[in-house]
Amino acid sequence: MRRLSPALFLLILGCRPPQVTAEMTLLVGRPADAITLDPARAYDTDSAEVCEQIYDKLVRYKRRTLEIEPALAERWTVSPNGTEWTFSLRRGVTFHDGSRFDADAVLFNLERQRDGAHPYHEADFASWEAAFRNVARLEKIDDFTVRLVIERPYAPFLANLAVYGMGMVSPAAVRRWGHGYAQHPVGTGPFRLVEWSHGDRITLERNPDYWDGPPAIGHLVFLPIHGARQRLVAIEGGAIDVAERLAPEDLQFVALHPELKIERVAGNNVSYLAMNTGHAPLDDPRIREAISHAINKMPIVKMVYQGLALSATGALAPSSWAHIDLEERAYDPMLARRLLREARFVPPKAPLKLLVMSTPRDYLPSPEKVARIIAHNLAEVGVPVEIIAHPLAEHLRRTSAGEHDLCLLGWSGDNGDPDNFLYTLFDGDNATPGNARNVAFLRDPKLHGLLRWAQETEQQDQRMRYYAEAQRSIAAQTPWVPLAHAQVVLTHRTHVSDIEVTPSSTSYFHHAVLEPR
Amino acid sequence: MSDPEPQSPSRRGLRLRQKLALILLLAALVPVAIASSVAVLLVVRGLEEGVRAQTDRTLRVALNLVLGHVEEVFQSSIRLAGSELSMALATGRTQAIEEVLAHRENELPRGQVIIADASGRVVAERTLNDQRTAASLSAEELNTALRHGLAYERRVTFARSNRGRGLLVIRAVVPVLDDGFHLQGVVVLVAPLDSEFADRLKAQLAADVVLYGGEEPNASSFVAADGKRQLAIPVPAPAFKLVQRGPSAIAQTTLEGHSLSMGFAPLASLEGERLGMLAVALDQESVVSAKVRAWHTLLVTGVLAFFFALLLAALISRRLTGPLAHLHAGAAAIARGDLDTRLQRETGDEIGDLAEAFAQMTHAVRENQERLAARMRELTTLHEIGRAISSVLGLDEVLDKIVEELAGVLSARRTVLLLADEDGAFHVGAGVGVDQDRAGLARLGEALARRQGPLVVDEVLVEADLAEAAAAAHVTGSLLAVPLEQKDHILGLVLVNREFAPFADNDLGLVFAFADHASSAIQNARLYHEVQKSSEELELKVKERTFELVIANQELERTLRELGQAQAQLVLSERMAGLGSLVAGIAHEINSPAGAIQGAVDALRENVARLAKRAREIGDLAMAPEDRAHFFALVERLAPQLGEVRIDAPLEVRRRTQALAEQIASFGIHHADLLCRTLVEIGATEAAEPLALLGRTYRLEPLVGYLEQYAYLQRNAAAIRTAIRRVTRIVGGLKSYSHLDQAKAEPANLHDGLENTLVILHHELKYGIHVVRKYAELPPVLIYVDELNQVWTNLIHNAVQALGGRGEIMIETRRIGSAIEVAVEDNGPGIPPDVLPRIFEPFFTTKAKGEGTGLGLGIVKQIIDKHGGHIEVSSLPGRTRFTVRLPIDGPPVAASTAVG
Repeated sequence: MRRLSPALFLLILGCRPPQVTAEMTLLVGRPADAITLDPARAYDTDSAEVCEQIYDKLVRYKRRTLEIEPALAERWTVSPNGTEWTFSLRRGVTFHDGSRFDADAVLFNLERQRDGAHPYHEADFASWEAAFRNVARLEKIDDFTVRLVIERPYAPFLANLAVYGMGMVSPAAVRRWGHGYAQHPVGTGPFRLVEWSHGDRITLERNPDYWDGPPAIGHLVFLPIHGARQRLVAIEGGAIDVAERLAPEDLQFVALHPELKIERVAGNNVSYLAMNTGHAPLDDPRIREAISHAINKMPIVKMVYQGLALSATGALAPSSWAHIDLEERAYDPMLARRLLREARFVPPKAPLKLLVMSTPRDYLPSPEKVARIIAHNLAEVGVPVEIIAHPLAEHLRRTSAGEHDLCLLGWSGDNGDPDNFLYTLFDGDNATPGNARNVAFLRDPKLHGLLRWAQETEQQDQRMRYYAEAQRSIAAQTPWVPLAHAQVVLTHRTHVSDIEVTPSSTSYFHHAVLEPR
Repeated sequence: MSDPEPQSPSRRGLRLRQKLALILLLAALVPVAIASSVAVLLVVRGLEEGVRAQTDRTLRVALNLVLGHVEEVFQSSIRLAGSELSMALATGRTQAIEEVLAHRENELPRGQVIIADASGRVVAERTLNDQRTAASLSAEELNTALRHGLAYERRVTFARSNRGRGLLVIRAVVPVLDDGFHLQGVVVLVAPLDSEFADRLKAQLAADVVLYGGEEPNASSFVAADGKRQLAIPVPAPAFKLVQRGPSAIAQTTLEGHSLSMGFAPLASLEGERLGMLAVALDQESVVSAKVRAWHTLLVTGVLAFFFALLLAALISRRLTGPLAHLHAGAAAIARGDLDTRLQRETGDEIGDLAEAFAQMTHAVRENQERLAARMRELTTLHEIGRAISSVLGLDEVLDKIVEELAGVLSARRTVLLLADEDGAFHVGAGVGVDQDRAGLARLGEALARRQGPLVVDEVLVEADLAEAAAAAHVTGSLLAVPLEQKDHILGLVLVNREFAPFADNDLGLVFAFADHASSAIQNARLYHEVQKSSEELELKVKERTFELVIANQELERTLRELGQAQAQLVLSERMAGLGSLVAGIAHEINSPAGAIQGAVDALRENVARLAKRAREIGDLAMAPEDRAHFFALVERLAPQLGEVRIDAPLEVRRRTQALAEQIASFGIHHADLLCRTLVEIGATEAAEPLALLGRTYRLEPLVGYLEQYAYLQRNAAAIRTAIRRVTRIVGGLKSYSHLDQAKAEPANLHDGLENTLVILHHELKYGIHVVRKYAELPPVLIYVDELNQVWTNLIHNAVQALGGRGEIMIETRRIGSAIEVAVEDNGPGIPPDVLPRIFEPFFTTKAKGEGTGLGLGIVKQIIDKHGGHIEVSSLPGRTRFTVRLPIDGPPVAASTAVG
């Protein structure tokens, strides 16, 4: 008996209620899988979101704001002439593969994007061109100090360094995987890749050595669940913990469901109908103007977004500091027709191609519905439109190649800088077919100048003036029909908390907490 | 022998059984109790968990159903707000709208529908599908709804009706758009979540549903026993609190004795305002009863198990310890000595083996006991025989005893002891059951003896060489014969015969033992016989000797008589007055040896008697022939030296005795010192060791006594001889003195003469006079032996007389050139100086008449002169010395021997 009791005691001790462990898994349902996990090559939100978990940048946004704070760079200095940015790097940071993060790694990252001859340069590095074209040289001062010298002062420079595209990759991994690196991402971020089962799921696990504190959850899984309804059913049934981009109409039920919660953040985005100014008849600004009056935005904004959006008058959302109130083009079909007549519009034999993504986006929840509404509206004024829908990747490829007459797109701002919108989307620099973000293919030297000056000037008020002028200039040329600024909505179950939903519609899961059910 | 049933089971057996039973009971019950308790607990917990889970599931499903209904309502609204209505609204005619409504009514849920136009004015209103309870909205709410709709917004939400008790409703608002996406109007649909709805849910859930507006239950599916709707379902307080905090809660409650498990989920508006709760209620009765049943079952089975285990334990322990108890009792019986106890050995296990082992041990012990008893009997018999033999000297009695005992021990019909004569013929020495067959048995014995060895046969008639003799002697059946042998000559034969039982090996051994005894007895008897014979022979020899001595004695007496006559003649002749004294002196002189002879003869008589006695005693010793022979041979060998006597001082005797005793110390003889002293005194020291050797086997006293007496006999005889020789010499001396003898001088050892003289005078010297001899190496001296002997006699006698019987006489001899000097010294009072010069005068004496002749020293001087020697005397008180000097070459030829 004496020998039994300690055993019994231990047995009883062992029977404890299950504890909350860090081995909780957070399941995130999204409309689509990521395309690439090489941050320099990612241009879609789904890829960007995953990259934001895997990589750190030199600087980052403060939580829930658009303010810049140190990340992999502890501090930085700018030379008086504004061209030399010297960064002191954080020490003791290792990549997920164990290699050291240092000046060499930073330079590798920057050089491969900058230098076309770099052995690991990829043709589709998306963000560099737009953001860092003016980097003159990169210098290594010492193991933990780099200097970026830009040709001319560039105000959005720092903000651009906080964009997901500047996530620091492991040079060792790039060297190892080469072109295939995009499938084998290695960063310094709070999560590291376990497995990417294409089309099925991306599984990340917590990085216990993360320099900013390991995440509370053990695993983070991104599940592509096409169809908003499926995502709704999944989250209602508890199959997923987080559902992104549910259909706005479904959000009604979500709101009523006691176990579901909706996170809403003012989105730094815009959805628009872009008109390819390179394709006739859309090269005529009067026709473009006519189109802008032909479209009834109210039902689009209200019905499609279900009250979760604002009608856009320009590219910049009201949350941007450079936003100006532009005139809302009133829905006036009669005016539209008159303008078309004045422009001697002749309906082309082939209807205008309206390219649209089949995948709902944050900035555009029901793209095809919107396309239908637009097509209907345009048809009413005698502009025939053919809707061509593609999955997102294809849609982006085609539109950047300029295959469209009209296209529906949107843009989520990566940094809080208006340059990110206006320069990227309207400057002639970005109107290179094949690599174009300026899918209206607007090429306006005056605009270009304005935008460049705004880039170079660091004084905010000066920049504001430039950008105001730029927006007015853009609006006058009507390259777009701006549709709406969407709120970023994230649905999650009530036992999940502390998901950081950003205005750029990617969520940070670093601090997410799962409560035991 | 039946099994000894344990009268009262020993204490140990019971305790073991109890222990075993208890252990079995515990071993059976404890794990079972623990396991079943745990099992029941788990089951109960599982049931509870199951109930919880089920409630949770049901709640979820209910929620989904509710939200599904919400969607349904929404979708219906959207469908209603389709092109048909759009067109109807576009016409602006109410009737058209009504038609559409009527048309679409069956697609719509129960409730109320309100249609407004593009300006927000209500153009139609209808209660749908027999909606019994009005579920209307307040005006404010309606306006809010319409506002949304007009702003192109579609909304659906929960709300509370203003009727009833705040019934929960679903309110959907959908703008009506035409193809051009132009607003035509607004549809508002209100669907109540009432008891009918609750019933619908119940049908799908198989659980009761309650809907609470605020905290008030205002819709439920519960139906009381009387058929009336039951609304008063109180919310358990903890559940309410939980629901306020979290998304759902599970709680237990009771309603009219029924145990219910209820799940609560809050319902809120789109704006997040908490409006009420959805609850599901599952009947827990079955679970509760299942739990109770489980515990009952546990209890009942527990009690049953206990009794069953108890029974089983008792049975098993009894079964296991039964044989053990038997074994224990049996072992105890055996330990007490009851060796006939039988042990049960049926169980096939270790206890059976143990019982088997015990039984074997018991058997072995019993056998040994019996053997031991048999051996004891035999030993007792042998002992008795031995005793009989040692107590009964007569051979016949011994033999009779032997055959009696043998017959008894062996249960023999016939036991015979045959003895062999010198010529090998047998005769019956003793027998039991012999009857008339003595001759026949003797023949049989001879036949057996020819076999030369012991015989054991089961049927004697089968033996070819014995059959005839056996038949003649009426001997049939088993026969056991053991010859009695002594140094491979047959003494006899023991013969045992019995009819039906064959002899065993140990019987032979027994008979051998008896035979040994018989042999010993026979042999001893024969030895005794021989000793007796020897003793008788010795007596005869002694008698002969004595007779010779007596004859010699008689002759002596005759001689004495002659002497007396001579004496008388001498007296008659009377040459001188001194002659009478001389004769008297001579007679006196002769008295000594005569006396010695007489004494010796007397002593001899006694000697012989003692010797004979000792001889008889030796006979009684029943010595072995060789020992006896050894002894008598020793005696014969020592005889000569026993006759020669040395007179030793007591100190010397003691010294020699001690030395001898040490010599034979190793033999461990009793009274060894006495033996040695005797041997030393009789001068037979070399007999010490042989005697000591014999002394190991026999009593020495007879032997030593015999030797002593023999010595004395020899001595006495020697003394007689010596005395006779003395007399002869005295006479010879007298003759020579009176010219009777012209003896010649002859070379002689002076010491012999001195010693002879000492012997003659032994009886005078024996008491109180110590003789010291200081003899030097002397060559033979030419002397007249007898005459010198007279001299010595005279001198010594004078010394003795001078000492008055106590003192020391020293006799010293030495050689001086061509002469010998002999001195006789005594430590007496001395010779007075006035007497000294005249001492050698003849007939000069200080003695009274008749006491001494006075002739002595005169004669002494004459004899010395005759030898050509010289005598002188010196005397002081305490030291008187007579010194005689004699030439070695003897007297001169021309010396005159005349005695003047």
